Amino acid sequence: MKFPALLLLVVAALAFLPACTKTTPYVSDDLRLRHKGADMPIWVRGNMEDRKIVLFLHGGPGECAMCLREYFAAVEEEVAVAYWDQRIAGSASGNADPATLTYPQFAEDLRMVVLLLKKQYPDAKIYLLGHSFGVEMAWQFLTTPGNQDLVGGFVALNGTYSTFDWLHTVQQWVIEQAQTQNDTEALQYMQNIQLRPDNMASVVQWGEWYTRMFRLGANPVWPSDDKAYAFKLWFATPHSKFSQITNVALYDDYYSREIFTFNRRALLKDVHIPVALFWGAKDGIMPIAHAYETRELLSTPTEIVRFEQSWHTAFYTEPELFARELLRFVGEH
Amino acid sequence: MKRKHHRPGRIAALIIWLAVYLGFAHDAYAQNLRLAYFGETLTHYGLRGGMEYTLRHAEKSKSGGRISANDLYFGLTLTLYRHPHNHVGLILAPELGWRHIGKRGGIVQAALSPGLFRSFYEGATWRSDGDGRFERVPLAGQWGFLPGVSVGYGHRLGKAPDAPYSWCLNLHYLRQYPYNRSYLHRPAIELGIIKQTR
Repeated sequence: MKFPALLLLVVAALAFLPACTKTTPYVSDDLRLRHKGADMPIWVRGNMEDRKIVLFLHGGPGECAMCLREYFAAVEEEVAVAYWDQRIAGSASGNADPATLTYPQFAEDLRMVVLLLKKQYPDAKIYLLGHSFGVEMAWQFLTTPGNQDLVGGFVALNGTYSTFDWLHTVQQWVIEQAQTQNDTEALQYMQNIQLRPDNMASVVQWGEWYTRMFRLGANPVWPSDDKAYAFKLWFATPHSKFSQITNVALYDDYYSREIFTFNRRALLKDVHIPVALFWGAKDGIMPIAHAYETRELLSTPTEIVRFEQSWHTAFYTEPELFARELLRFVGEH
Repeated sequence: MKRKHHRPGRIAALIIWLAVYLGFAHDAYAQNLRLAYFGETLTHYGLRGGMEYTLRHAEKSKSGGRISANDLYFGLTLTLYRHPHNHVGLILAPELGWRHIGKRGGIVQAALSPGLFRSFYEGATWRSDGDGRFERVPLAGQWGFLPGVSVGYGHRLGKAPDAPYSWCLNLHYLRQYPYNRSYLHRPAIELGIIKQTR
C-alpha cells in the first residue's frame, strides 16, 4: 500500500475510535437497553460526585431525550442526567412492534432502565423527571407494585395521571380562553362536546382539539423555533432526527386506542416517595389547574413549583429557574 | 470512572483498511476505483471505497476531435461511517450505474444500489431478561437492507482526455429496512476521487 493510503488509514482509524471516558466526576457513558424488540439508547452525562442521577422521561410520546440535552447544562454541572430515548422514540432503533406501545410496556421499560442504571452505578440514587407524556409513564411505573422504592423522588413537569381528567381540564381551558379571546367558533366547538370516560375515543378528534388549543395560545414556543438548536439537532448531536421522524409516525394505534385506557387516578394515593409538580403556568396543553387536581389525589407531601413565564416546556423558557428548582428538589431528597 | 476500550474501534480499523484497499490499492481487475468521504446526513463522517466494471461503453466524437462517452457500469462499494455516540455503520452495496463523461471532462452520473447494512452501537448494550438481570450483547447493532439511488456530478482532474483521476460528488437517498416495523430515511453525501485504471 502506498504511503498516502497508509496515512489515510491511520487518520481515519483514529477518527472512528470511540472516545474514552475521563477519570473525573463527570461521566459520559453511552448505554443501550435491548428489550422486547427495542434498542433504546441511554446517554448518561454530568457530575456523578454526589452519586445522583436524574432520569429524564421525555414527552411525545415518540419525542426524544438527548435532543433536549442543552437545556440541562446547569443540571449536569451538579448531578448526572440520564437521557433515555424510549421504545420507538427519538433515536431508539431495533425492530419493535408498534403494538408494544402500551402503558404497561412503557412502565416495564422504565423499570428495566432504572435497574440497568442501578447495575451500572450501584450506589447512585435515581430521580425521575417526567415531561408531559413522560409524566404518564412515571405515574404508570410508580403505581405499579414494587417500583416506586427503586427511585428517590419524582418531578412531574406538565403531565397527567389520567387521559380523561386531562381532556376535561383542557376542555375547560379552551372554553375559558375562547370566552376571554372572543373566539366563538372554538367556544361552540368545545361546548358541544359531551366528554365522558366511555366516549373519549369517539368524541376526541386530536387535530380539531389541538388546532383550537394552539390558536388560543396553548403553547406558542418550542425549542425547535431556535434555528441554532434545530441545526445542531440535525447535524451535531448523538440524536438522529431521521429516526425521530420515523418513530413519531408510528403512534396511530396509540392515539386511537391506548391513550384512552390511561387512568391511574385511584392509585396516586399509594405513592409515598417525594413528589414535586413543576408547571408552566401559561400552558394550555396541560393547564395548571391540573397540577392542583393532581396534588389533591396524592397523599405524599407534594409541592407545586410554578413557572410563571412558561407554557409546556419550562426547561426551555426558564432554564435557570428550572435547573435551580430541580437541583433543590434533588438536594433535599 | 474506568477507562474503556471499545471493540467497534478495532472493527472500524479493519473495515477502513478494506475500504482503502478497494478504493486505491486493488486495481488488478477493476476499470475504475473510487475513494470518497461518505457522510450520512453530511456530518456522520465516513469513508467509502469501491471498484467499478464497465458493462457497456459508447463514445461519440465531437467537434475538435473531442470525445464524449456513456458508460453502464457495475460497482461494488464498502462504506464505513460514524454517528458519534450513537453507532458505527457499515454498508456493502453493489451498484448499477450510468455515467456520462462530456467532451470537456464533466461527469454526470446516476446509480441504483441494493445495499446491506450493519450498525454497531457505541457503548455497551445490555439485554434484559425482564426480571432485572442483564446480559451484555457483544457487537450489538442492527442488520438491514439498504436500497438506494444516487445522482452525481464531477469533473476530470487535468486537461488531458486520458487523465486518470476525476472528482465526483454523489447525493444518495437510502432507505433502511426494517426499522421498528417500518423503514428509515438515510440521505448521504459522497465526495471523492475516481481513478481510471484502464
